[in-house]
Order: sequence, then structure tokens, then C-alpha cells
Amino acid sequence: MELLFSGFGKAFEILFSLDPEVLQIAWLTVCVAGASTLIALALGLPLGVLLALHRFRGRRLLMTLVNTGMGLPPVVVGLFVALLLWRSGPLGGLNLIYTPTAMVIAQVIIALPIVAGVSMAALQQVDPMVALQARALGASRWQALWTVLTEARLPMLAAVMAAFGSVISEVGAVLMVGGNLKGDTRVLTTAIVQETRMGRLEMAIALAVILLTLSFAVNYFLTRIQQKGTGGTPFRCWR
Amino acid sequence: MLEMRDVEHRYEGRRILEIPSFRVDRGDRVVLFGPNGSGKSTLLRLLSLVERPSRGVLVYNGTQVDDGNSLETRRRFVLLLQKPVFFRGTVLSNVTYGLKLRRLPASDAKERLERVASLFSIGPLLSRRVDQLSGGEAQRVNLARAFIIQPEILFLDEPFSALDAPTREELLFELRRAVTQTGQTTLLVTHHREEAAFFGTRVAVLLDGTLRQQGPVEEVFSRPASDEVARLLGVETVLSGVVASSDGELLAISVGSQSFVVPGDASPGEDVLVCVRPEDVFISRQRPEGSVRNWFVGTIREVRPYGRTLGLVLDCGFRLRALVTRSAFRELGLAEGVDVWAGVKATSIHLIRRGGR
Repeated sequence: MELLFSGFGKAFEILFSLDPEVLQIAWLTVCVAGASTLIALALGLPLGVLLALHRFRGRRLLMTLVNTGMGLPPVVVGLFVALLLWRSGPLGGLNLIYTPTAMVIAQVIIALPIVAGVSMAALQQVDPMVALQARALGASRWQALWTVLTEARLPMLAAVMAAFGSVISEVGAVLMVGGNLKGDTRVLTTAIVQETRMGRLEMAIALAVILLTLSFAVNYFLTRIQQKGTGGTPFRCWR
Repeated sequence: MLEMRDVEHRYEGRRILEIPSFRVDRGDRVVLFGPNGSGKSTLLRLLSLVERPSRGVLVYNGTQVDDGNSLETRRRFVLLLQKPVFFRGTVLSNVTYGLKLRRLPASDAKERLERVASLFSIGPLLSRRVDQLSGGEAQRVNLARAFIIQPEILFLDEPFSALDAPTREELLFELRRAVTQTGQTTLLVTHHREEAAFFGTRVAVLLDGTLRQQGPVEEVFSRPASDEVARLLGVETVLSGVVASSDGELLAISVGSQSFVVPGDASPGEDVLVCVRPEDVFISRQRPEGSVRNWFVGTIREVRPYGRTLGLVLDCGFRLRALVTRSAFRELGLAEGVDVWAGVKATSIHLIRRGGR
């Protein structure tokens, strides 16, 4: 218990000293997780829309793949991305292994099925009459789609939060394809593992507090957008 | 204005609509009348360009609708679905939704908003969230978001069907007033006879995906083209008969062992249908004197409440339905099993030559 308290004390010291190494690790974490989430969103949202709103051959198979992908073990993703990017691998010539780009690639593969799967489910929950009424009031195909997306805003933003949460807290894949190189590919999760292994628990706790604060800040911002104008549901009943 | 030509629509291989020709002209108040499942909603979606027919063409103001001009043409119309479908947000954001799509200048939008808010008395509701509206309020907001667009044709798919009778009557009255005031061309789908008669200037009767009859309301209601249309329009007594004789002015029609006198033009021996509306049947305890040509003795077999009146089912050798007020029912001492005289004026009988020829 004492260790925990002294650990938190030390952690806040490190935090408020604005240690350049810690700041660099935190910044890289935000960049990698942010870029991965945005790319996963850019690819996963159209895939979710396609699966939810269109009928085509192979749709059910693709849905199953997406749903399976939502539970993909990150180390497996890390292993395959590393195999592809290793110097001797098929994409070795790109020299991406142990770079932040490799980490983003691995995290996009982890986050994409989450975005696609949750947005697919969210859009399927929207009353089909919404798109019909939008068109009946003069919406073009894209305007009707935007209206449907707006109607699914709450679960769609939940998809973004879930994707961001999964990539910012991920350690296995980034460790395998990033290598945890100090000043280069070290992010908060891999740094926490490293510091814990070395017995520097105060530093590990400080990094954990930063990770939690970052995660909270991003989710707070997204929740604000998500809940804007919803006003909550009045719920009153007799005991 | 809007014309449909040789349209056929299929769903999952099954033909659900076949319309050789149908048109809506400027200023029309057309009522599309038919039972559930007759294809009314589908026809409305095709006419409002929300769906595309499997075969056939739509022509608007002389120009055929195609991929190139369908959005522009669709934006001249508005279709309101049976149940109001609102988008997340306030009444205001929903009412102005159509204007935002059309990028109308703010000053114009404000003026239109004020006009529809007053037309449908929704001013106090504008800041409310749509999920806090009652059924009647929701329908007024729904009408406002259609009228604000000032569509060239307004399509309404049974807009009041889910409401209680008094609210439905009130809203229909409001709608008719708004449509008359603005000269709005409107096509209303309904399966309520009273709504059709009250609202429309023209009725089109749809049955099993085909238009069976169309024309001015009075004409269609008083002269249904077939027995199916007659039954649908509430002519509750439809009897098969044979023309026994003709004197050039009046026909004698045999219906079982009874005989009707009806003005009309048909040849002796021809099969006909005799249509009698329940409100056109006179009930008396004694045979009265007068101009009524058709009198039958019958026994009251059933008495049913029918709105503010009572519906009687008489056995006159054929089943004849009649309507009486509750006070007449009491004064005449009517009850089930009582024998009465039932009279029908020759001029209020509508004759259909078999198959609507």
C-alpha cells in the first residue's frame, strides 16, 4: 500500500516536472492512437454503411468476418503485420518495421472491425422509414444517408470511443511491430511494461496516470458531442 | 401536371401494381381509395418519385422523369408517410428540414415558418423535442413540414389513421382548410369513406393493384362501376338481379321472388346488380302513401350501433341494410323480430350492368 502511495506521489512529481521524455511518449501515443482511429473510421464507416444498408452477394460472409475481427487478438495482428513488414517479408522493402507507421497499420487492423461492426449494428437499428421520409421530403441519396447517420449518432460515436479505447490501451501488437524503441516507437503502454519490468514502479504509475487522463479527456470530448441535444430520458416509476 | 403511363411495379417477382394511365392536375384534391393491401401506398411512392416503377414512365409537366431530372422533380413534391417519422431534434429543426435541403434563403425560410406555424397552430411547439409531442400535435407538425416546402403536389399516405376519431376529424378539417386556402394540389390516400367524401374533388378506387374507377367524388360514390367498387364505397346492399321488363324509362328487376323498379337502360334478360345505400332506405310500420316505388315487407334481424345512428339488417327475401336515428327507432317501436315496411325510391337505386360494362 505504501508503495502505491509513494508511487502516486512520485508520479505526480514526474507529471508536473513536464519531463521531455514522458511528454514525447505521451505525444506519440496520442498521434498513433488518433491516426489509427481516424483511418479506421475512414475505412470502417463506409464498410459499416455498405453492410447495413445494401444487399449484395457475400454480404453475410463479410458481416461474419467483421464480427470475428471485433474480437481479433492484438498479438495475432502484431505477428502477421510483423511477418509482412520484416526485412525478409513480402513488404520488407518498404522499411516500415519498428516505425510508428507499422504501429498505425497494426492498430488500424485492430480498430477497423470495431468501427465497421458497431456502425453496422447502429445503422441497422435506425427505422428504415427515416431514409424514406428524408427522400420524400426532397433529400438526395447522400443527404438521406447523412440523415440516417445523424439518427445513429449515439451508437456511432460509441464505435469511435470503443475503437480509440482499444488502440490506446493496446500493447501486444505495438510492441511486436514497433519494438518499443526509446524516443522512436515507445508509447505509454509499452513504456509502462518496460518500467514495470525494470522495477521503476513510480514511473510506471506516472505513465499509467497519463494514459488514463488522456483516455478520459478524449472520451469526455466525444461524450459531449454524443450527448449534445439528447436531454436524457425522463424515467420515473413507482417502486 | 403529373402523369403515369403503362406503369407496372413488381416486388420479389410478384406484380403488385398495374396502372395503364393516371394523372393529377393542378389544383386537384385526389383521394386514392382502397382497402388495405390494394397498393395505395406503393402507388403514392411511385407518383412521388421516392420509388421507381419496375416498368413504365412518369411525365411531369410534359417532361419524362429520368435519372437526370428525378431529384429536381422529386423536390417539387412532398410525401408524408402514414406514421410521422421525425428526425432527432426539435420541432423547429424538423419543420425546416425540407427547406435546408433546398438551401432556401434565411429570410424566405423565416417568412414561410411563420406562415405554417400560424396555419397549423404550432408556434408554441417549435422549441419542443419531437419525442414530447402528442399524436395530434405530431400530425400538425408533420403537415407543417410539408406545407412549408410549398410543394407543387402534396402526397399524404393515410396521415390520420392512427389517431382517435375526434382528433382525426379535427385534423382532416384543418387539412382541408389549409389545402383550400393555399390551392395546394393534393393526393390523399385513405380507406375511410367519410374522409374520401369530405376531402376529395376526385376519387380513384384501387383494388388488387389496379385502378377500378376514377372520377368526381359524387359520380364515383353514386355510380360505382362494379359490385366490388360498390361494396368498397359502402353501398352495403348489392343484389344480383335480372331485368324482367323495360318500358323505355323504367326497368323491372327481379331479385329472387321480389321485384325492383329502377330507372335505367338495359335489355330484358340482362344480369344486373341493384345497389342500395342504407341511408336511402325508408322504414315504416305501415305501408305509406307517396312516390316511393319500391316497398318490401321485412323482418328486423339485427340492430347494430352505427356511429350516431343504428344500422338495421332486414330480411325481405333478400338482406337489406338500413339506417335509422335512435329517436326514430324508439318512436316506431322497432326491435329485432319486428316486421316493418322498407321503401327505396327508384331514383336512389344504382344499377350496375354485370361486370361494370
